[in-house]
Amino acid sequence: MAAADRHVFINCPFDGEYNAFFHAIVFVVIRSGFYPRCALETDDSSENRYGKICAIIEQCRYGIHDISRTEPDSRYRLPRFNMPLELGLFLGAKRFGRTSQSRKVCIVLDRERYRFQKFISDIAGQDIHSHQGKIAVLIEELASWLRNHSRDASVPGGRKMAREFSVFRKQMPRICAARNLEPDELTFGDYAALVAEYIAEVA
Amino acid sequence: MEKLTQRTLSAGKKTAPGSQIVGKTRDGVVILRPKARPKHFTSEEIREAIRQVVRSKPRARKARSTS
Repeated sequence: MAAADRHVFINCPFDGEYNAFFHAIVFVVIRSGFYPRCALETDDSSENRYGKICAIIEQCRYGIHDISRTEPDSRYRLPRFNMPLELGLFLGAKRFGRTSQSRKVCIVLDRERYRFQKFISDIAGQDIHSHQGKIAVLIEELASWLRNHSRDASVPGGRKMAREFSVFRKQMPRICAARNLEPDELTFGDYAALVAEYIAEVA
Repeated sequence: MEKLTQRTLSAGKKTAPGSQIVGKTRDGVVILRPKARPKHFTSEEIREAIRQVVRSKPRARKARSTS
């Protein structure tokens, strides 16, 4: 598979509550031999965020969409619509885009497999996966999905990846401390680089 | 675009800075360099920090006095 076909768009909440899940997704993407991409790359306020997200989606053949966050946020008491919007952009690119866009593939995740029918029923017919709100299940679902698409028999199974991620999570604060950083000070670029170097060194 | 062939890793497990590839795992997965660049350290700096932590053994706990 060409490197250009290995970009994976990650569409999920970026808040503290979901942070461990987001970190697990990035870990699995890198461990499976793909590039993680997401809206957090757009932290330059001089850029048009929507335009940058569209450009990232255009470059990604694969998409991971977690639509499990439906609750209103505590501050404004309103639900976040960015995840459904970015899922719609991805599906729209696949539906209306040129040949390379029509080859897009995505996995949609929720806490329960059929819950989405109550709040986004228009995507009924898509194969929605459930992570049950558990990181180990999320890792297994993503690892097997990416392994199927990479067609690379050397990519390990989800249970091994879950064990590796668990060890990594325990060591991450000490690795950050060695650079005079706290884990919550890492940018997306920092975290992705740390994971890639760690896996190449340890796995 | 560059194909992910074994030839790109011919120089060894680690590749030059700026390479599209970070390294290869023992089970044979090619680890790609993420597109988003780190802001707080270089690849070499974080690799050194990882080595320090991974190679350091956990400190032995002091035996408690039972008297």
